[in-house]
Amino acid sequence: MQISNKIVQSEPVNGLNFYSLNTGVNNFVSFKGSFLGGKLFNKSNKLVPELLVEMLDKGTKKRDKFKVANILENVGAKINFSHGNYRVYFSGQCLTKDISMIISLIAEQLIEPMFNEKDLKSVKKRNISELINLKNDTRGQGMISFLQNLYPKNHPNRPDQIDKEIIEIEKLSIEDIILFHKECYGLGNMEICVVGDVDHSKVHKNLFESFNNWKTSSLSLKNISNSLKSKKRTGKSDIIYIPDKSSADLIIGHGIGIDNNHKDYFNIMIGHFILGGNFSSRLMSTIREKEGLTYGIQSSVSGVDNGNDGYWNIWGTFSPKDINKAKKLIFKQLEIWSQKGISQKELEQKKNTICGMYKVSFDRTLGVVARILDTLHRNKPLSFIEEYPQLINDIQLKDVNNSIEKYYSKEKCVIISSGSVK
Amino acid sequence: MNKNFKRVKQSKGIVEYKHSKNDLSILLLENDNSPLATFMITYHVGSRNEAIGYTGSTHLLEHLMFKGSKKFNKKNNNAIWDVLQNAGALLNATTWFDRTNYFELVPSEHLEKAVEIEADRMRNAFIKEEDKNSEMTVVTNEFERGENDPLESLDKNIWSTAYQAHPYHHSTIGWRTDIENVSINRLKSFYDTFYWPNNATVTVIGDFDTKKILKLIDKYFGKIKKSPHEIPIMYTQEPVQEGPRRFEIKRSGELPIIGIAHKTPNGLDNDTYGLYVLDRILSYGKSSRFYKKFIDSGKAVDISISYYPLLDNGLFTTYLFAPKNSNLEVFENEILDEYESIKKNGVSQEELNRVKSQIFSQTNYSRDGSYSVASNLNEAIAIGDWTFYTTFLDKINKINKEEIQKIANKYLFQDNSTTGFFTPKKT
Repeated sequence: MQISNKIVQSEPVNGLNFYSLNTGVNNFVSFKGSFLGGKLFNKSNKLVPELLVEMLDKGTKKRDKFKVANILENVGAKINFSHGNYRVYFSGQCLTKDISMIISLIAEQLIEPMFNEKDLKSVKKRNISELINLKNDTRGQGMISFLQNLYPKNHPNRPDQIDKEIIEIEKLSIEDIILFHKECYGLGNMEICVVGDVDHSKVHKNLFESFNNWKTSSLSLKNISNSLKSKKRTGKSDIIYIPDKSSADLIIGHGIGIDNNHKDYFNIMIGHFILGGNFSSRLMSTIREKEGLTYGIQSSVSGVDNGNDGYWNIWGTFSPKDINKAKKLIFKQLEIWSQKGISQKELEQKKNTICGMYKVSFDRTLGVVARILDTLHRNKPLSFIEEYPQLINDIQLKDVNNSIEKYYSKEKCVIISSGSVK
Repeated sequence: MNKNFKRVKQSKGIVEYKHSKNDLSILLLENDNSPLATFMITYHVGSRNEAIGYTGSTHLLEHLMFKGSKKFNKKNNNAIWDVLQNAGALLNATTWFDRTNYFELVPSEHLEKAVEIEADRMRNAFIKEEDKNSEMTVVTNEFERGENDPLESLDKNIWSTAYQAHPYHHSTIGWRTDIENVSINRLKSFYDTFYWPNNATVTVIGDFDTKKILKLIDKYFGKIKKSPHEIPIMYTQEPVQEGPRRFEIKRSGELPIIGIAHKTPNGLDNDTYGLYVLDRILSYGKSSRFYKKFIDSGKAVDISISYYPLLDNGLFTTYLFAPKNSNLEVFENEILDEYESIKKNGVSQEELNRVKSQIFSQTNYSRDGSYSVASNLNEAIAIGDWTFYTTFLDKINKINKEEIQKIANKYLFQDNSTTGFFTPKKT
């Protein structure tokens, strides 16, 4: 499947990069874009960038929020704004005839948002309620505890306690939102990609006109490069008690100290895929299929973007009475995996699986647009889209087994049980 | 054209065939946007075909269908998950009130393997006692996961209160003790009753050639005979409701939730389109009435309407998450006030036009990817007419304001309602 040579790219202007890909769909497009401005860019209160993003659909200096909503909904289009640690994202789908209008509207929302006290009050109230509700979420609470055990304060992979986030929301003001927008939003590192029934030249003209006068952002990933590493001393078992829960979550794992550009990354990634990456993985075959203990169990490597030292973790759900039995069985599988390694046959099968899944992810325009943006965010050339399967196929058995041995330590494991577990 | 198939009809590019020997229905839509295809088989059996003692059987059987068949099994070193996942396929199965479907989204070169597997497990699945024993606890954990979610608990109770005779009374996952105690013979009998070509529809969407795929379907499914018995009809109808119903769940939790449900007609009834539009006028997007009233104002945390057409009657249910320690009766009155406003004053032309535009665009988006089309068709097949998917937009376009008001009056009245509160218990 050759895609990269069909992607049309405009000459970047002031850090605004535009990519498009025409596919066989009729009359509609999917789009996604991003720029720096995520929550790590405000060290004093990470909730300011988060809530700013939620305020972007509350109207502009030219039209109030209901006019904006009417424009979109009258043509059946949607613009979703979201945020991550580093970037602000916007994405959606619209009819081909409306894409220029949608691009202009996104520019207006980003450049001239209407921030007012009343809307912020309502956004704050809703966010606080949502956070309160999360206290009842067994998986969410388990993951917060797990990651706090792994990472020191201010590490990008460490989430805050819910009560701390609530206090930060209560503290922030409309002035904080306006100031962050003024100081941090702008061009300089923005990518927009449109996939589907798209005419590149038409969108190009409208896009560059719409963002023509926007200032350049001063933000750079270098400003927030993370020098913190995961904690050396881990190895802990904890219970997060939540009453009246018929299913409990079990999380086991530890830090690996490497990011996704490290030479070992793909080796350890595929090692965990064999352990718990899909239905035919070792954990699913034993803990679910053979023992019947869980509806789902998985193992994966995460937190490895943007130079961050990531972690691996196993996550599964169990009846609270079966938690201890599950722990024993999981550690038995980890022992077999780490001591005996994986086989050549397993490796070849999973290479086929990963390459096939990669191909299948291009079924929808939404999948294609996400894949292109992901390639750009990893600082890879577009040809990486085709190179990825080769990279997977080049993985060697001895390297995977060496990585499993190198990046697994039973003593370092953090074990969190969350739910009505005594 | 393969002589073993007769062409039945065509709608918006989708062509229906029927196998002349075993009555298997086939829906095909060629689309070479990407070198991928979705193969899906929908059995016309769901939890509405169950009764007390074996609720959840359709779903448990769906799990057992992955445990091996005559040709594809662990002993032969070609278990279903392994064969398809090793080819990179996205595969799974789902069970719902009216249907059970099995699907594979595959690189086109692996399409034949999907056809072969589905044909083999149609009549040759093992359905063994030892597999049931381990899978029963898997499904129990699935049940437990659902019970962790206050909204899912409230939803189950809404259905079981609103429907007392009709099998929509119980959820697809079933009652816990039925999941734990159903016998393998019951499951096997369920399989032998419903898993036949004349009770199934095959759907293929994506990059394939019609002649070749019909040849493959004939090769693998053509040798399966139609059922030696008539497929049983589920004949229970829900008696007319003669007054409002209410309940309250008290359990540990954080936010109170209210659900207000009203019974609706079967999915192929002409009022379905008006109810769909009404749902969107009330709850879809930032221009909707509920968004403005509850979310933009900061009064509520979340509000949504759950409404989907079914083979038999359904429910039109508004769910609202309220802030901690709220009085749910206040929200109940405000939701009902909005219903009354529509019943009395109707909706505006602007609201109707907006919703029609939304549906037009989303119908286009629903053709994004072979799996998306198959998934939409699956629900239309389940309610008894796959052209529900292809004619949906035309029917929506015919709706006028007066019909919306009439439909609101016809269904959203007190004696037709079931109201449930989820009240967090102090711990």
